[in-house]
Amino acid sequence: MLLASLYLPDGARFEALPHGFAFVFDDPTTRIDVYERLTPLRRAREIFDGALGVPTTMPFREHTTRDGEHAALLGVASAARHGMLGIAFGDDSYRLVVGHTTDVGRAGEIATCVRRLTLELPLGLGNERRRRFRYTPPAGWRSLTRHGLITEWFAPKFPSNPTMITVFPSSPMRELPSRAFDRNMHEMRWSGFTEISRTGPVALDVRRLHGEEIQLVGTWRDGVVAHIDIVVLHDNARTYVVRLDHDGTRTAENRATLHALAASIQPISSALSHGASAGTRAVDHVVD
Amino acid sequence: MRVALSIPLPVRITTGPLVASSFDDDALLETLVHRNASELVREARIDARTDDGYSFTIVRAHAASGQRIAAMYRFGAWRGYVLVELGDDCAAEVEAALHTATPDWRGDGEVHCIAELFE
Repeated sequence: MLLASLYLPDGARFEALPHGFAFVFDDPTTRIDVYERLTPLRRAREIFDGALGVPTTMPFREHTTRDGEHAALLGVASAARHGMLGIAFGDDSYRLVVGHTTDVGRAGEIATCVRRLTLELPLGLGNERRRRFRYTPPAGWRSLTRHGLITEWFAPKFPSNPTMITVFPSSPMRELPSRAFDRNMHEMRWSGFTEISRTGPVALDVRRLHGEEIQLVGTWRDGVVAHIDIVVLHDNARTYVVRLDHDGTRTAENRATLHALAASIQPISSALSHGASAGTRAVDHVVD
Repeated sequence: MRVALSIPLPVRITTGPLVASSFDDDALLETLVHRNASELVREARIDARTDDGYSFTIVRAHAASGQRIAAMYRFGAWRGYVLVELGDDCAAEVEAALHTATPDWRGDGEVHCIAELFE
C-alpha cells in the first residue's frame, strides 16, 4: 500500500478495499480502482469488456511492464466520460486498473496515473523466475495447463492421434542443451521410458535464439513405442524448451508443427530480465 | 475444466467439473446413476471409446422417473461425469451423442498461453 501511494495524484486519497485499493477524489465522478490478483487469466478484450460493462471494439495497446510482465492499456472517451483501463498479467492472475472522470481537465492526469499503476507498480512476482513466454500456438490444437506454467498442446483427434507438444516455462538462466536433454531423459525414465535410438543433437537457430534438437525413439513401460523430439533454445539470459511426443506416423507434419512453434518464440527481453539496469529502458518503453 | 458435450434432444443433462482420477472413480459413477432415485434397475454397463479415442464407461438404468444413462470419461488423469435423464425412445441417440464428448480443459474462458491474452 505504501508503494501504491507513491502514485497518488494531487488531491486524491488512498482507500484500502477488499479487492485492492482505490484513489478517490472530492469529485465523486473521478476515481481510480485497482483490483488485485484476479483469476483466472482471460483475454484482455474480455477483461476490458467486463470492466466497461459493454462489449467494445476499441483497440487496446499491448505493453511490457517495468518487471517484464505482459500488459494492456485501453483509453475510452465519450462526450460525458473519459477513462483509462489497464491490465498487468502475472503467471496465474492479473491486476486490473480502472480510472474514469467526467472532468475533461483531469482526464490526462487520470490516464497517466492508470498507466503508471499498470506498468510501473510491481506485481511482486520477482523478475528472475520461470515464466511463460510468447509463441504462436498450433491452430486447432487443444491445450491443458499443468503445474501452473507448463502448457500441453494436443493435436486434433487426440488421443487417437497421440501427438502432443509440451511448452515448458522459460528458465532465467542459460542452460546448455545437453543438460536440458539429460534432465528430460532422466525424468522420462521415471515413467519407464527406455531409449532405443537417438538422432542429433542438431544445431538450431531461431531469431535471436540458438540451440539444439534431438530426436529420440524409445518405449514406455507398457511397451508402446514413443517418438520424442526435444528442442532447447537459449539466449544470454534464458532457456526455452519445447517437446514433441508422437507415434511416428505423421513425423514430417508433426515436426513441421513443432518447428513452426519454436520459430514463433518471442524471447523475453534480456534487458528487462536484469532488474535495475533495465529500469530506464523499461520506462522509455512504457511512455507513449 | 469440464466435459464438452452437446445432446440436441429433449433430455436433462447433469454434469460438473472434471475431477482428478482416484480409487473412487467407479463409486462416483454409481453415485451419479443413483442420483435422486430411490429404486433403480440397472440395464447395462458398457465400455467404449469416444470419437477422439478417450475411453469411457456408460451405465444404463431405469428409475421410477424414467430412463437414465450415466457416463464416466477418462481424460488422461481426469474424470468427467455426465448423467442424462431421458424418455424411453431416444436412448440410442443419446448414447451416440455421448461418443462425441471431448475434454474442455479451459473451463470458463481461461487462457493457456500469452498469445491468447491479446487475441
